[in-house]
Amino acid sequence: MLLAMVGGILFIAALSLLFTLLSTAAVEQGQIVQQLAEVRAALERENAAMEEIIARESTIPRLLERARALGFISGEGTPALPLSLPAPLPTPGMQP
Amino acid sequence: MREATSTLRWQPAAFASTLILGLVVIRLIYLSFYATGELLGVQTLQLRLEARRGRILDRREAVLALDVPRYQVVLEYRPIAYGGDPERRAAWLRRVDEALSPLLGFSVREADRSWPNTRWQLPIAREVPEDLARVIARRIEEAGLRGVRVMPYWKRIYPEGSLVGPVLGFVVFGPDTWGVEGRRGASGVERTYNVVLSGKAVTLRVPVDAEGRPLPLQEAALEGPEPGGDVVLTLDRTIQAVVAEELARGLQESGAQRGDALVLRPRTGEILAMVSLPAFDPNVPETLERNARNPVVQDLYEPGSVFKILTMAAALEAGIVRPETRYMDQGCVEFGGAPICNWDQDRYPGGRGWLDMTELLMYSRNVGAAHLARLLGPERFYAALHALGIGEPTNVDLPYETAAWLRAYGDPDWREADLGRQSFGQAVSLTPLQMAMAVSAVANDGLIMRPFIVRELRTAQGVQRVEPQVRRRAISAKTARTLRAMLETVIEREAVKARVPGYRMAGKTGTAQIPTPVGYDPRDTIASFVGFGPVEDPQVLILVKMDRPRRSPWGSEEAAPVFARITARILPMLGVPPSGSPEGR
Repeated sequence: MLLAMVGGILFIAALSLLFTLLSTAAVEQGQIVQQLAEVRAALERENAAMEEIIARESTIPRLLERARALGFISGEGTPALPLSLPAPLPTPGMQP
Repeated sequence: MREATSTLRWQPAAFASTLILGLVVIRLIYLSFYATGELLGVQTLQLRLEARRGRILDRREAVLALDVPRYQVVLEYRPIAYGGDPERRAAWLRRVDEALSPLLGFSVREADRSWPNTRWQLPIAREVPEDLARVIARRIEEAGLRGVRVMPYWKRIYPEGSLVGPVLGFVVFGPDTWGVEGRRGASGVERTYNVVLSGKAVTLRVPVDAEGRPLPLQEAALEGPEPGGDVVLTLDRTIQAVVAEELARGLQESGAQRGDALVLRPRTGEILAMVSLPAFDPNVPETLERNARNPVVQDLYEPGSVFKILTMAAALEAGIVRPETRYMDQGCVEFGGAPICNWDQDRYPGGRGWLDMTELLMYSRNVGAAHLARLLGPERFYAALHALGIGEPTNVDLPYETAAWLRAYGDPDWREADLGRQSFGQAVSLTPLQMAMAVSAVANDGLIMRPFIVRELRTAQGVQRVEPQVRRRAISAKTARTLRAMLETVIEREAVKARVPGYRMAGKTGTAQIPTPVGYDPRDTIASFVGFGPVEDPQVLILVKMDRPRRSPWGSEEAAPVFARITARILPMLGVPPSGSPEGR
């Protein structure tokens, strides 16, 4: 009878220990996963911040500015060179 | 007998104990498995995590809109964690103020005064730069402050600002039709493709301990928001910039109040550029309420003489005239009881005499257009307009398109005089896009395409390409080719300011009076030009419209040069070889 009681107590104690160990491990794993999720979110934000820098540096006004700084000049006013000359121009008229 | 009495005495007590124990066990099972966190009550933090909204790209992958991280400082006062006592709350605020005010540059206690009792969260600073956000977070940790935290959030930015503002639209925060709060597109591409762009937000219920520290989450709760998909436009940012630059120059030189310009591919319906000036900047919310619209799609105008292209298309298609058909041009005629006069009646009081159909377009004869309408009759005229898409939306993938307005044959208030006036573009109102699409039938061998601004959707499920769609055949290919040649002559012989060196272009000027509640404005006009080319293989169609120019009222003087400059710059960019070159046909 006593042996059975001791056995029962030991069994319950072992189960409790196992439950405690598993719970602790689950909580630890949960914390690790949570930390990783936070790291991932932070990296995504960093990535997005870099995308913003690239997008701002690639805007048309910024590109023009950098091109000018590199010595490029605007092609505005430089006529295109037609490969075939058009017919003589008539006298310009006015039309609505 | 004694045993039986004893059992009877104990039974009620045993029953009550068993019942209580059973209820406790049931409650424990319920709390453990079905209502996790219920006991925590207000100590469960509810967080809505916004999904990162997808990007909007131009056809060359340049980023036009994207979400970027920003930080905000938020106060969270939870009575159970910090006590409902006003004195404790004041002491807490004082501590927060002492720690953060030097960093934030304002008094937290002042900010607290605007905190409504109905909310337990109050953002006291937004748009906090990342480096400052880190310093503040460190200070909060060092001071052991509770109930104040630095939280990231997504902010929508538009790197090109007003250049593409009316096309892209903007995003607002508020409830949708289901009452769910969040960010949503309010206009432009942001609105039409909101479902693709917005992704899926998640709401987390984060358990916290008595000190307000979050407890480990269940695995299911770690699912983050699903980011939105990317949208790729048909728009070319560089062409958009060229068009905006030339239109701005045209507005400045002419003194016009505002203007619109549109570039599209008539073969496919792809919109390459859509510019309105002045335009709102979606980065500046203050400008949104006043001008947040896309006039190319939403605003109606009377097109004036460019509409004669459609009248001529109807007449050619009906076979009642050919390019060489002549008519007697008089200065004024009577139509349905109302006089119709040419625009240069002062110069040619008796008209220009016998003119052929090409000359009708060249000299833009109102009397000639009315003559064609009379020959066609109302039934054929309106049937032709309907075939050209006049009176119906284009179904472009942009929101709030306004349907064209005209009194048509069969309407109760229609009069015969309307037919005469509509033949040269009065008494009919449409959007610049609808006008451009009607003319695109001439450039595209008679077919009208559905205009579209988005060419590709990129989501987690895959890539979906938008294919060009034919709306209908408006005129025959033969009529389109004939009219193309006539419109080429218009530019070559008369509207010479629309000529483009090296390219054979076709087009027509327009000078429209502006209707007011008391008749037409006697002074101001809308100067416009619509053209396409190269004639041998039309690659682009361009519409330019300038409202109330001051220097000259005429489309030939103000809008035509803008058309020519835009065309000369963008055709080489699109790789279109000059007409007559070995590469050009």
